[in-house]
Amino acid sequence: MFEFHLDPPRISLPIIGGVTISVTLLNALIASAILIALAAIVRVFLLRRFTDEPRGVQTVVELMVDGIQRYTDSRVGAQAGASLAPYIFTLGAFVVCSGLLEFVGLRPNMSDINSTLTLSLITFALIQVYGIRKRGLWGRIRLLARPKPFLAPIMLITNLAAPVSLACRMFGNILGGFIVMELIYSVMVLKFGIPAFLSIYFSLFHTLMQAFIFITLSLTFIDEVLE
Amino acid sequence: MNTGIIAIAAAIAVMTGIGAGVGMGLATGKAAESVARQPEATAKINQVLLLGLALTESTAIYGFVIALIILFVFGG
Repeated sequence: MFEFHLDPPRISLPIIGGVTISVTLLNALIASAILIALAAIVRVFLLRRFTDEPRGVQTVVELMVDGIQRYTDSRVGAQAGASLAPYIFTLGAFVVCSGLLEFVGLRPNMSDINSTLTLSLITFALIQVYGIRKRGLWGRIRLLARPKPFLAPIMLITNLAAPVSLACRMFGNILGGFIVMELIYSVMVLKFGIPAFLSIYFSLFHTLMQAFIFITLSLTFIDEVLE
Repeated sequence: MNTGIIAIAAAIAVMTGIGAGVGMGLATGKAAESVARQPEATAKINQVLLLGLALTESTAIYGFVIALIILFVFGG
C-alpha cells in the first residue's frame, strides 16, 4: 500500500539534547554545507593556482561564473546584472544541489512549500529593492498605474501573485516528480533497475529545468520593474 | 467525509491539464514553424519558448497542487 504524507517526516538530531527538524530542512542544511565546503575548497586551494591560461578545474569554474554572468546581463542589462549575478548563481547552485540529494535517498528540499516560498520571497524583496532603487518609492508605486490608472488594483494583485506563483510552480513540479518516484519504489516488480532510468527524468531533469525556470522568471520579474 | 467524493474532486482539479496541454501544443507548434522559417534564430526562439512553456505549465501545476491538497489534507 502506498503511504505518503504531504508534511515531510521529522527526525531528531543528537545535538544539544535532541533537536527535532523536518527531513527537508536537514536536506537544506546538508546542501548548504556541501556548497560552502566546495566554495571554501575553490577559494583556499584552487584560486591561488589559477593562471591566465585556464586548465582543468579552472576552466569549469570560469565557464560557470562567466555563463551565469552573461545570462544575467542578457536578461536585465549589464548594470543590474553586475550585482544580481552572484544571487542568481547561489540560487541555481542551491536548488540543483538540494535537488540532487534525492539521489542519496533524502527527500528533496523543494518538495516542502516552506523552502520554495522562502526563495520566492527573497526574489520578491529583490524586485521591490531594484524597483525602488531605479525610480524611487513613489516611482515604484506609480508603476502600478501603468498602462491605465484604474487597472492599479489588478496590477497590485499581479505583483503580489508573483512570489506565490514562483513558489507553487517549483513546489508542484518537484513534489510531482518525487511522488512518481515514490510510487515506483512502492511497487515490488518495478523496484529493481527501472528507477535508475526513470529518476534521470523525474529527479535530474525536473530539478535542472525548475532551477533554470526559477532563475529566468526571477530575472524577468526584476527586468519588468527596471525597464 | 466520503472518500469517493474527495477522489472525484481531485480528478476535477487536475482537469486544468487539458488547457495546459492544448496551450503548450500550440506554442510548440508555432515554435517549430518559426524555426523552419528562420533556422538562424533557433537559440532565441528556444529561450522564448521555454519561458512560455513554463508560464503555461504553471496552470497545470496549480491544478495538481490543489488536487494534492484535496487528497492529502481532506482525504487524510
